[in-house]
Amino acid sequence: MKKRRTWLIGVGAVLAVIVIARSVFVVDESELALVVSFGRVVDTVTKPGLNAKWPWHSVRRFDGRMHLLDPEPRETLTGDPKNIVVDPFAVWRIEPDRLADFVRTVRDTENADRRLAEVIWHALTVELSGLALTELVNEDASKLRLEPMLDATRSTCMTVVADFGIRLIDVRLKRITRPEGTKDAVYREMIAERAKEANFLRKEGERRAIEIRAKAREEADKIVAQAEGEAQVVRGRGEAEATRTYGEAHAQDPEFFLLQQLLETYREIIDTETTLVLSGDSDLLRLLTAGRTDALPKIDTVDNNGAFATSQPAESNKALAGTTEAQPDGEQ
Amino acid sequence: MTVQSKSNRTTIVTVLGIAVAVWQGTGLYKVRSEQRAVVQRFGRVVDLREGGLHWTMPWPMGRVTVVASDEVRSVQLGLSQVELVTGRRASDPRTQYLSADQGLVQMLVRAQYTVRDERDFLFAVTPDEAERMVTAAVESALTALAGQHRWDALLKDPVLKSRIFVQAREQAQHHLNIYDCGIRLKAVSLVALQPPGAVAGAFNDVLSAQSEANESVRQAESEAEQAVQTARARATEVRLEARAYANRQIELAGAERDDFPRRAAAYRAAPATAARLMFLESMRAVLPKARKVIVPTAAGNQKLDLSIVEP
Repeated sequence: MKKRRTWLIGVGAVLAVIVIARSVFVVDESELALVVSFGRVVDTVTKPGLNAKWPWHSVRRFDGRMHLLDPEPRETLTGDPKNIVVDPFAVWRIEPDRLADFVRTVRDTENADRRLAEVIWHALTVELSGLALTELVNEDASKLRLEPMLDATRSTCMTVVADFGIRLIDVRLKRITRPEGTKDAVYREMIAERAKEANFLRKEGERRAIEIRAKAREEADKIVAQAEGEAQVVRGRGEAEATRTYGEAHAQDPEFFLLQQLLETYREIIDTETTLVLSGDSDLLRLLTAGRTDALPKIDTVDNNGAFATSQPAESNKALAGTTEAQPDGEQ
Repeated sequence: MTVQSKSNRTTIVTVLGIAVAVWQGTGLYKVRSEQRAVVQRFGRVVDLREGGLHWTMPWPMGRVTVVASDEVRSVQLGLSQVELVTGRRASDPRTQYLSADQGLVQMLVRAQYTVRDERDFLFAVTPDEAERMVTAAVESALTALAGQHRWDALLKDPVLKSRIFVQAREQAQHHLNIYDCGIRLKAVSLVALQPPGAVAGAFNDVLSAQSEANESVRQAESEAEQAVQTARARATEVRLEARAYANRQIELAGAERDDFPRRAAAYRAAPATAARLMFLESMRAVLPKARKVIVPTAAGNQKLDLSIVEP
């Protein structure tokens, strides 16, 4: 009797534990869950924590977190048309309130990735074919259409995948490049461009060097010319002062000065090219031609014409005589 | 019998008591100061704890995940570390970005990040996807930015380079915030930025052309400097010479001023003799050089045919 009671209590306890265990379930912070009754969805649980259900219900759990969809890059055409390779990525998650739709249409996350990739590629190909490559990359930001293109792609995709219970957060391009086959042409163009620039730089360097040298020459010439100008003024002043001094000095005895100058002039104008025809009667040569000492000129009675009679500078003699007459001195 | 059953019961209670105590004890956990602990109860996040010793409900009700929030994590973009070391960087398309003038540059970039929101970091994204999101966000930002600049500017302009990486960090952070991944981008930093291998020669030639041009300009400048200096020296010389000449002229004139009166006085003492002496002295100096024809008389002089001796 007592034994049977103990047995009944034992069985009851086990059954109670099983029932309780089947009636509660835990939904993790990262999860979404469906409560299913023999295959039929009866509830969607979007809040994490401890939940209750009937023991005969079962639970299907789904990842409620953000997913990164990163398909392989693909070659496509721009509107130019130019071949480009684009590498898109998308971030999405299951729309919590539409978990049932998600399960109905795409079943699971991997399948959702595939559907989403198809939708994105379609939209992206369409959008890209409406743009020139210069609208994807351009120095002038006002000509860029990359962001509007991505926005358009995103909103197109969003509407499509909303029916799949997918919330599309973002679609962007990780990379825009040229296909491997066109890269040689790209490189060639880059090289040509650089060669042009290198050439320009060298030419420009030469041009500037020439300009600098020319300017320096001009400046140097100016400096020297200026100095020479000043030098001329200085020399001129010196000469003027000297001339004035000479004038003042020589004015004291113009006759002596003239005599001196005259003799000086003879020394300068008579050289090896000069032929002098000398009169034997001249004071200088009278002794030579006559051979008599009485032929010597008398110092006291000598007159200026006789004293300086030579054949060539007769005019100078007259000029000297003229000056002498004009300014009489103690000799006469 | 009763004594034995009583002691049995005591043993059972003691064992159960210890078991419960040990079980509750597993709820104790330690958090270091650089860490944060995310506390879950029945799967739901209920608490966020900082450094120290804490207790929460033990398994299976509670769960604690410790995150090293302040630890700087680093991710290499495009290539893995292994590929980097094995030297595939030269032409790998995953390091190439299209520039505004449709050229290509190769950028090796690292991104450093820390955890900004532990709850999002743990439960809004899977941890390995958080890193891939960082990569994707930074790469898309760099793609957009590289497309706004000429490739030679990207390679040469240091200001532009640093600006681009600051902008890339800002833009990528903006997108990561939208993705709820609880990540704070610390920095986007450049490991290497170079032209594609095939273009490197031409690119370097531009650099050497630039330095050649600079060199020839510098050369010209130094020559110019020298020319001007020489001219200045010459100018000084000319000025000094002129001054010396002027001084010399003035000196000579001064000497003459002092000397002339003396000579004039000497001459005036006996003008005829002095004049004659001076004349003879001059003749001695002058006549030896010249050819001389001596005509005996003044009369003979009239009939002389000079045509044979005149040059």
